[in-house]
Amino acid sequence: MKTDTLPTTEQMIHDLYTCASCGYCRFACPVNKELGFESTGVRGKLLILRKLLEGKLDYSDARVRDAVFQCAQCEACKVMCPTGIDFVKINQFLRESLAKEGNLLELQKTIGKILSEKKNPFNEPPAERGAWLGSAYKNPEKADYLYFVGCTASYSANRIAKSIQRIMKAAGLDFAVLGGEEQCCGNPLLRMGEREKFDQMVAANMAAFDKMGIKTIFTACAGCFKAFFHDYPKKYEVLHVVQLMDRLIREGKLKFKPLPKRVIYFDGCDIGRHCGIYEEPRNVLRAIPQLELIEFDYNREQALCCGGPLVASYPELAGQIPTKHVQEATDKNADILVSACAACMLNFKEGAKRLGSKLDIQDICMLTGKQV
Amino acid sequence: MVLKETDIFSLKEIVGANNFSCDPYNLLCYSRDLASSIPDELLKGYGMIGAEAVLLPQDTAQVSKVLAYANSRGIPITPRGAASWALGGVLPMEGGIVVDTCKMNRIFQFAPADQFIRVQTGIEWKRVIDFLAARGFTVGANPSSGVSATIGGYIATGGGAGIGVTQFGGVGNQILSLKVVLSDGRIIETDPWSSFYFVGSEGTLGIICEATLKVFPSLGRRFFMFSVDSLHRGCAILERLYEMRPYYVSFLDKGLVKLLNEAGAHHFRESELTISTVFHGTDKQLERVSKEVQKLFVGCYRYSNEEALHEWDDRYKVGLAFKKLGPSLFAQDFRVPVRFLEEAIQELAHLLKGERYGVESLGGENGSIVLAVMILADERDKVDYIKKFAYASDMAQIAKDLGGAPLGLGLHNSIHLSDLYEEQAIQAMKNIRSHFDPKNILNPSKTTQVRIPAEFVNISMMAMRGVPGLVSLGLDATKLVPSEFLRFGLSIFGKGIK
Repeated sequence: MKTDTLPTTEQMIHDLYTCASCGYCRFACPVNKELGFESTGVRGKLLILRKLLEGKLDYSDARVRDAVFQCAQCEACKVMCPTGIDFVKINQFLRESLAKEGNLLELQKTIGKILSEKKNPFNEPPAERGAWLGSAYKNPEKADYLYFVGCTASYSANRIAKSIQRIMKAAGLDFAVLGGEEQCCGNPLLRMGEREKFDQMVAANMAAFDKMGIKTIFTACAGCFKAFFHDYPKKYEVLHVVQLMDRLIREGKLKFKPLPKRVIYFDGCDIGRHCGIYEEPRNVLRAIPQLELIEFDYNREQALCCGGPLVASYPELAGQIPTKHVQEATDKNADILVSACAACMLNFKEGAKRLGSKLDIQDICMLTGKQV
Repeated sequence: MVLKETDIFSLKEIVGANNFSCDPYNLLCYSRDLASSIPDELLKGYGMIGAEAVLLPQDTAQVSKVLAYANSRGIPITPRGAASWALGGVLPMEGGIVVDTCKMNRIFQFAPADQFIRVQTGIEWKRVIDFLAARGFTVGANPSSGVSATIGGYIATGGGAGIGVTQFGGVGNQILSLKVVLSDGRIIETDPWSSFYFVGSEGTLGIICEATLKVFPSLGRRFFMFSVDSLHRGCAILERLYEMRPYYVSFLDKGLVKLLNEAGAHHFRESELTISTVFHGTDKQLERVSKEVQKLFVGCYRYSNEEALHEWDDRYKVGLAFKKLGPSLFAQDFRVPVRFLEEAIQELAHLLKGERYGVESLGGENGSIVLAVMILADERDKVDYIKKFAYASDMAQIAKDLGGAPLGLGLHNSIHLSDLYEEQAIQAMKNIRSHFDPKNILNPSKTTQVRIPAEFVNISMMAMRGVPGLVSLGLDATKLVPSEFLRFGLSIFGKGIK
């Protein structure tokens, strides 16, 4: 048995035995809801860990790896847990142990290699990171705000970035971008357990921020935001774009054209449970005249994860999870499903494709960008 | 091994490869329940074979095919809901297949005009309650573990304790119909009266796959929470409260409040009893009830409405929030007539002197109150844990002496069967069981099939109490003994072991 892979700190081992085995964690676990078996839920995983530590279960590289990585780290289990076990913390520790051993999934290894080389997970040339801005673009001479675009909006979902340009122009807010100097925030590396590589990206990005003379960093990427919020040095004010838009609306600087549509908002885990941002995106949507905002049955802290974080590890599973959300939105006669996370948006689109649904799915920036 | 390669192939065909598992990690998980801290050696000592395969059927038809197949091959079947019960009811003692109903989780029909809901029974109570709440309705009896407990699990374990029971009675009163798969795969549909065969049957008569339950329009609710400084007065208040048929009534004893505060989970005022109650009714009824409740608790410390509401919102969690102090718990649930509550608490205090424990109550039916006694432990200290294990029989004795009983039978409490029922009643239950399941494939070694004679268990309990170190050594020794040998030994003394 590889005991060095397993929890070593007293607190973590204590947590394993604190599990009440009540199974509440299964209620909202996106993986367990999809796969069903106990070993895919937190209760089962903690029991397995206990028995591995006690030497009563044989260690299996593949099974332990699945038990660790078949987790969206969405924290829904923590919300449900009566004894307050922070499973994501234990899970992250295990990921870092597995990464040190090189015991990652093949897909993760590939993505990790690409990230290290190209500084984005899409295998795109780093120099083209700022291509969406056009060759004529120049940063303002002085800007307090830096827009951290992130990999998805830089390469595969440019419309998010262009929408932000439009929104901020309408609000009269100048911002700078790093363009080709921007690197992936490193969040995908951290989530696969590659902390050292993550730290390198943090250092590179922090050096670039320091050169800019900025005060505030904002981003529309929920993953980047979570990394800045929890894992980067606390040197600058960090905002998700919905917080900034909410602020601009309250200051009377941002106004929207009417949109007579029924919109259902999805609380992504990265800005929701992980960072506590629930009301700001709703305030933004409510600021659009004639827009009717509706809710998922389970929302805010109790929202059910879309499975997006599993795209880079178990894509088949990841794409199946959001079919339920798309179905619920359809049943509620929503015209548009909106999230404030590009990963959620892309995964919902995958879910809709699998369902054969034509539901309109948009990132909140894309929606609001059209209404300024 | 009961299962053969051909069985595995056939079962996979029925439920689909994605819903079949014989992976060792899953088999471990499906050979444990809420009481996962029970030493493995003790389960081995019970002669448990454990799960050999796990199936996740998605509908009644699949369950029917699985049972027909298992019946034809004599393969034991252990039905499983959320396993949020600690009595070993879902432990696969004789090996074979565990049928986890978690994927049977659809709501088929909600008929507000006729006030019923038809669901698959693997769905959690909370999901049904949330669904109904959004549509202006609620359920009657529902379990205090409703975040995980399934509709089917609660029905099969009796549904006589929990929330709503004190107003609406046990869950059996709210069943309009059940769709049940019998041991040979036949599917039957019950009426409200024949449903009672399956209420509390603990998976021994059939697998309950669909349920049609009465629902009730959501009326107003009033929330109250008080600290009562005198145990005698608190018990008298609870007796009167039960007569008023609240939707919810629960107390935390002094020990539990102290532990919750120590764990930083709550900040309650320390008093003999902290009583929460919720009434559900029309404005006029609630107005009248409010006055009566205030009169009843006059002179007691009253928590604010917000605090009482928070306690209600926290109802599924509150009792466990101190577990981290253990980090394990030894728990036993039993019911006593509410008029004997004070004696029960006093006798518990005498029995558990020196232990760190707390008591939470759940609503019971027919004038009974259910006590959940939770003793802090650390399962890694096996000798101490074994000593605490011995309290189970002492608590059962307190319950019996006061006209109550342990809550449910399952595996661990089946030894009390002859104390709880007349011989004729037990024989009638056995006859019903052999009528429904002549080959004895459904949840063998549970409820009416007492695995180990009570005398043997009592001697073991005495040893656990008196010489826990020796018992611990004995359990360690079982690691070296082949399971087959242990089972042979048990089959001489016990019953239901093949």
